[in-house]
Amino acid sequence: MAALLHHLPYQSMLTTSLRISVAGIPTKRAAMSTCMASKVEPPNIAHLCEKARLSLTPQEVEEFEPQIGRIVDWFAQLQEIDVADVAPAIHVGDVNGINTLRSDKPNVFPNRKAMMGAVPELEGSFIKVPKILKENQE
Amino acid sequence: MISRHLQCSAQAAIPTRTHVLETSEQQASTHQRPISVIRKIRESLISRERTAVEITEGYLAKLQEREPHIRSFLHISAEKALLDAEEIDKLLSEGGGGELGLLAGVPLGVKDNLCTRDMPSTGGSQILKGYCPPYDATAVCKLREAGAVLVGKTNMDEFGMGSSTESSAYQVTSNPWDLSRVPGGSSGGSAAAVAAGQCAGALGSDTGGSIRQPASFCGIVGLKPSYGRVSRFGLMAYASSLDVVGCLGASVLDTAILLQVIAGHDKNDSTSSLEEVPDYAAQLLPVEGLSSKPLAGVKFGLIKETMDEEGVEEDVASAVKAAALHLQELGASVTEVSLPMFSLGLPAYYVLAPSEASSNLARYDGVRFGPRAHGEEVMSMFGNSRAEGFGPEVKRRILMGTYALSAGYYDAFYKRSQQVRTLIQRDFKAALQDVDVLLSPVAPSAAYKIGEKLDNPLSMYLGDLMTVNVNLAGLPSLVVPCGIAEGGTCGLPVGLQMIGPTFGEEALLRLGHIFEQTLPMNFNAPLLTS
Repeated sequence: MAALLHHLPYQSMLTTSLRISVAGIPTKRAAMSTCMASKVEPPNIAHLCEKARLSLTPQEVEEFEPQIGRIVDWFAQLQEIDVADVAPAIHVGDVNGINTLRSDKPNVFPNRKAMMGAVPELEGSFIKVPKILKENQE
Repeated sequence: MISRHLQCSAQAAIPTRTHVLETSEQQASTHQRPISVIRKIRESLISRERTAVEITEGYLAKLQEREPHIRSFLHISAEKALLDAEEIDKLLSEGGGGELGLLAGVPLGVKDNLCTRDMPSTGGSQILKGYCPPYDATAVCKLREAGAVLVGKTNMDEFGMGSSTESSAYQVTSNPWDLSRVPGGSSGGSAAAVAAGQCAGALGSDTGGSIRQPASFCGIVGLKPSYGRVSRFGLMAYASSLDVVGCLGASVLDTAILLQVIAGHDKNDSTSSLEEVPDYAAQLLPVEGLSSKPLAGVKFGLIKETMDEEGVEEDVASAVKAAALHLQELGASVTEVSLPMFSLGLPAYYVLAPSEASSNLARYDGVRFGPRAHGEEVMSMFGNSRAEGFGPEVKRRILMGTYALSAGYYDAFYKRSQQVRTLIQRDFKAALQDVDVLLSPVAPSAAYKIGEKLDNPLSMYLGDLMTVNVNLAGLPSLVVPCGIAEGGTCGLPVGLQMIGPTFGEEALLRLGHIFEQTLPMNFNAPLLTS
């Protein structure tokens, strides 16, 4: 007789600082209001897309906005901990003070042909790309 | 040998205390847990019982037969594999028995985010479709130098971002224990391939649990080495302060041999450690020769925050508690320890990893490699190439990372997460002063159904709770199958996570080996026995 598996209530794993239900997808307004409750501006997806050089479709923007908003709101619990005088963990584990720099001598990559063979558009020894500047752009 | 597992009983086949005692006498004569698939291959080569070509042909046949059901490979390199096997046979016939590399003639899989010179390497992404790297990753180089036969590249969540392999841009891999379930991720292809006997071992990568969780879901052994133990040169970077290259195998001894080969300093990776590489396999002896209490004096600490009733399914908790009892039977002490910052590791990880990823993935722009989309000018070419090439999860994480690093938010998110990371590192350090090894489940549940968590990215992230902190601290962790949960046709495997101090792989492997070899259970995926 197979015993029923308990449905795992993932929502219960979240801290009480998450103010919106995980099960429902919040509206944009809801996402904004909860982000504002965390005193952080909700992510402006269009603005971030430009920074990240990602051309999203309007549908993708609409889909991602509440998803990312919900995740950012979930980050709010990080604000509740006292981190005064705690150094950020720039290094993983102990640093042995090893000098990781090598001598400043050029090394020749042995497989240049294969490396350049991967370039989508090659003109002579130049990698060709579309024009850098738009017309009428500074 | 425990037969109820093979009978596919509907009852949860979780070892109880009485159960362990009952079968201890039977262990020596009936225990069929493989000690090492890799050693077995080596023995048959040296004794000339089989040739390397025969062994590789055997694995390739199994691979092809099972592949339509599992889809663990993105690229199969049959011809080259057989040529490599021929080379090994040549070496053997020339009397080079003494010079055989540690992995001579052993068919292995390589996760597709490790660059391989003669095979496409896509990172599970369309943005690298058809890309053939001009070099081998250091870990791959080392496998080849040891004589390994690389049979192909395994499927993965795109750029390592995912916990189910459903985020692969190419195909969904099935769990050999139940084809309707996920193998875990992001090294799901490697785990499924090993569990299905398609290769004798595989390389994977682990940034937040990507080796350990699939190992648990597929009933095999997975090792996440300490940060810096294995070179990351040639590993497509996801989060550079968290990524490690590691290995998956059918047994602890197999993963020890794989680690032996890939570990070590690399001048091409400035984060790789000069720490000496010990002989990891040397201490992994047959258990028949050990005392009745081989773990006497060893102290284990079960992490309290991972055994919360609401945070982990009953079957998983039972399996881990039974494993703790088994360790006590072997003479160890198991106490409960607390890591107070534990739950903060998850949001900290999901700030840090996407932040680093947003920087690491900036190189995929259609300029020098990979497919290039049309654009009137270069910015729209970038935008279109990346929009067409990246999947939704990767896009989400790049955007999250861009947000967390942007001016005005850096202190609140990235810096703060780095501070939380320090606190988590301190917690681990303190706990590992009191105990030798920390224990926890690997995931809140056994393998779930394909498609179950796709609607809600956050619910998938929550499944990483038990693994991410280990990456934040850079510690080594070994996952060994320890029990069976309900589900599937024959139950679903559950793994035990064992976490050690930095560069403590030797002890972890020794303890894991003893645990594995004395546990009266086999973990053979139903696909193998059908």
